[in-house]
Amino acid sequence: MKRLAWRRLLAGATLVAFVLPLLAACTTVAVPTPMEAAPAGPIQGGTWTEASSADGTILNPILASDSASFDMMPYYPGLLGTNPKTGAVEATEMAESWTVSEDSLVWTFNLRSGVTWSDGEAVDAHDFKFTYDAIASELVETPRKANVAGIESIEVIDDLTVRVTFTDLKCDGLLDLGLGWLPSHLYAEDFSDIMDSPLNTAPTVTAEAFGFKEWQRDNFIAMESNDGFWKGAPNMDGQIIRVIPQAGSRLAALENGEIDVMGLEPTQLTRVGLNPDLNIFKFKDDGYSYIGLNQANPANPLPGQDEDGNLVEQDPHPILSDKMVRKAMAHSLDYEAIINKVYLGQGYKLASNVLPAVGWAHDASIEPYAYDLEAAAALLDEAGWTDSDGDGVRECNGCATAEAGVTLSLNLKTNAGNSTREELGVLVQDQLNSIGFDIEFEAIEFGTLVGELLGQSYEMVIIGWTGLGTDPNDDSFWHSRFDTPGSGFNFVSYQNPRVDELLELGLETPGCAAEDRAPYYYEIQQIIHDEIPYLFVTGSIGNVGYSNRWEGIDPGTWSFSWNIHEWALTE
Amino acid sequence: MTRYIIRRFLQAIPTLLGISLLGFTLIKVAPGDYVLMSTFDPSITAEARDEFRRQLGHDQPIPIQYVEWLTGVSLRGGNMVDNMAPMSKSCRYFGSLNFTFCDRGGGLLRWDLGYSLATKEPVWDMLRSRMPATFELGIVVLILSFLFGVPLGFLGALFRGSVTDQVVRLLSVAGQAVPVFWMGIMCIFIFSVLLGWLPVSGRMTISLDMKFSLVDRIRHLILPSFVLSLGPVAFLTKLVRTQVLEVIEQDFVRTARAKGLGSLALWTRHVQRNAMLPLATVLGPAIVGVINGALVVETIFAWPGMGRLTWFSALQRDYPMIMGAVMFFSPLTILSYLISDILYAVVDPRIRLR
Repeated sequence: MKRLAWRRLLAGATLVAFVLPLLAACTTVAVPTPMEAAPAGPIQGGTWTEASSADGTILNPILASDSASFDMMPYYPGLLGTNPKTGAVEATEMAESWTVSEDSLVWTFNLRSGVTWSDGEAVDAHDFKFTYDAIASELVETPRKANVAGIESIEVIDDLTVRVTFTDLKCDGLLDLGLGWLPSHLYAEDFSDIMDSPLNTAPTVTAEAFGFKEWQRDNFIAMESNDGFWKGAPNMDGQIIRVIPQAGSRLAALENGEIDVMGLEPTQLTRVGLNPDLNIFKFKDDGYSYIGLNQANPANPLPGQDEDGNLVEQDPHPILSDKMVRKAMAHSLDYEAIINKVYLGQGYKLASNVLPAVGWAHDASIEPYAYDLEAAAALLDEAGWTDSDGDGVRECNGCATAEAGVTLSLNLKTNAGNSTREELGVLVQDQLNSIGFDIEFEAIEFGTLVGELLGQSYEMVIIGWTGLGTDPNDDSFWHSRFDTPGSGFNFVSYQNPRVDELLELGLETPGCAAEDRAPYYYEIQQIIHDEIPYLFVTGSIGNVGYSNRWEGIDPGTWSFSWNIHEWALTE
Repeated sequence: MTRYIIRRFLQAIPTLLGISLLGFTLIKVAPGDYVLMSTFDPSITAEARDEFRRQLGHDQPIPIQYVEWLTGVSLRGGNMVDNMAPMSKSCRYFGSLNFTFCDRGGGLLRWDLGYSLATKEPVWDMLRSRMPATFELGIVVLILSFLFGVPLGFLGALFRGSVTDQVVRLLSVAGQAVPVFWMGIMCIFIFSVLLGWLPVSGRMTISLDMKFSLVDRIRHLILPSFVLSLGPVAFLTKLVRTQVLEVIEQDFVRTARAKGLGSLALWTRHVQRNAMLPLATVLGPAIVGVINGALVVETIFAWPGMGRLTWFSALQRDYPMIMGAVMFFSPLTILSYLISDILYAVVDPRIRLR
């Protein structure tokens, strides 16, 4: 789905790996073959209908922060394209070609000419600059400020040339430029009307395949095809996104023909698979599920670094700071059974933090931990956690991290309402308790969980990452700089100076070439695998169910609807 | 009576202020906040998150945030004019007291519920746009409840112990015991997927060129209103049945019967009127109950009403929106109970409101 592409540009790491050879050589990227116009044959008309579990909040790309909103605003042009199949950066959007300075800090983009907003105004460099300057403006309240933090300046050379200067070399820096452009001619120059512009709920212009028609909150959004779309006028009349919160109701609507597409849950696969009117697109999603192990004392969360950037010694968790215990945990989960029974086969075993989808950085030689209860028990014995009173729960008898007599009791949390995670929690509790742990499992409301997670006041958590993208950089999970209670994403308080160093080297590799960066990520994966800050449960597999009354659908992992303007009804 | 009503209205003011304070505090002390929820994204740095929080004023102590929501006036220690000015109508620094005073505009006391954090739209507009859907469903459900609940209850009492009574009692227990979400999904499965008689969800058929169609609206209304009215129908059936049975045991009924009053007159003039009295008292709670129950039904049937709006706002921690809903539903609840009390006085002349 389109959402995937957006999410990747926003949340994760993408792009750069594939641009890198170009970077080093400081060359101009060749213009790709332009998209050919749709042949005369396809049937015209029809409405493509999607279902979304939540309504969008705002139709402004620099104010929105939820994927539902991005799904509902395919009106704003972007700088760079993503290959729907490989995730590689392509010059398929506004940037027709670009050059990069020797130090990789200055990027000059040549923009496509002749692209216009639907009111006839040209889409040009001023729109790009306006959008990013708006994000930086004090008048605009947006969490997207991080997108401009690494940008020193944006200069408009001429209408179709724009130069971006970054402050520091950051090999995934292009990601920051992934937001859609606002039509600058419709806003006040000083950004004073952005927060309360009527365009935020009813955009009047578009430069993409669809234009806004009507939005009834919590109900639907209707979009009309843009006949002036530069890649070619869509065959369909328009598209509708309906808001249907309940997964069962969405499936019923898909089976009934009321909607054409939806993301499927594993339990829905059989019914959709048996339906001759529906297709399933299966793909390795760029995310994974894991159990986070807080290595610091949840009663006393400390930042990973002080103000000068020196490591701060953590108050260790009495149980989870013991690597032997973490390793015993990794051996006591039956991953195969979990993937088959809980994820209904929609997952794959994972050894460390870089996904196989990021081929050049993924170290396939690392073996995931094997399910081996004997090895797990032996590790716990060796670590000084034994059951001396015969009640089935081990206590510290000479362990390294806790006082004598402390029981091997831990709390495991996940978000309520996610039935897969709830089932996983019960299974994990069962499996760990069978070798002498005493796991208390609870499913709590997501907002509360987020608060405890970032506040680092939890012990173990079942959660997952999605939209990690094609860049292997995930420093926000492991770098001690991001261990900031209350806001950072290194909420397991993982601390390893070598990993900090490797993450920095991976991002600041001169030239950013994949082959130069890969060794750093290989070493990181080995260390993360050995030190087990996360128990990697499974890599995610996504499934999209869609109606076969449309032809031309050619879904890719990175975008389902990249060629939606070419789709047509079969009859 | 007029004095009574005026007094009740005046009493409602401190009650509502209390509710607003309690509601605000509860939402604020609950774990997780809007900034965390909307930026739960590793690509957003802690600095950007802190900056966002400062811009929204969420870095301030709860009492200051409450005053700001209530009055639209911000107070900050030190000279913060430069920081605050872009977001406010007017700002002034009081050097001697070392604090900055800003008028952001709005505030509950100025009849302004503020703007939603997520959509940046006025809270009142968001509530208002969902009202028709919720009231449409609510009114139909209330009508259905009384239309079926009252006669069924009478029927049960009239034929006490018979098969009819057994069936009515079984239905009323089942109606209250069966979870709404299960019933909703079963109805969708049977009537929409298997039989294809009714639409799965939504309030109308959605297409690019939509026209109003009453038939279409009614078709969409059938399943949600049926499912939502099951509980109230069951409740009313049980209540009416018990009431009627109680009334026919009363001395005056026996006396009336002994005096030779025909059974029709007896039922309509004596039993029915007296048995209906408690119905007036349940009307208020019934309105509130229907609005509460709508939450689940609105979610299952994708009905774009206020229940869902409130629920999603709570999940997102969209404080102004949640408080807006609280400040809308609280007066409505108070009003519903007031109507109940007045109705009670109207139908039962023995009651005097003072």
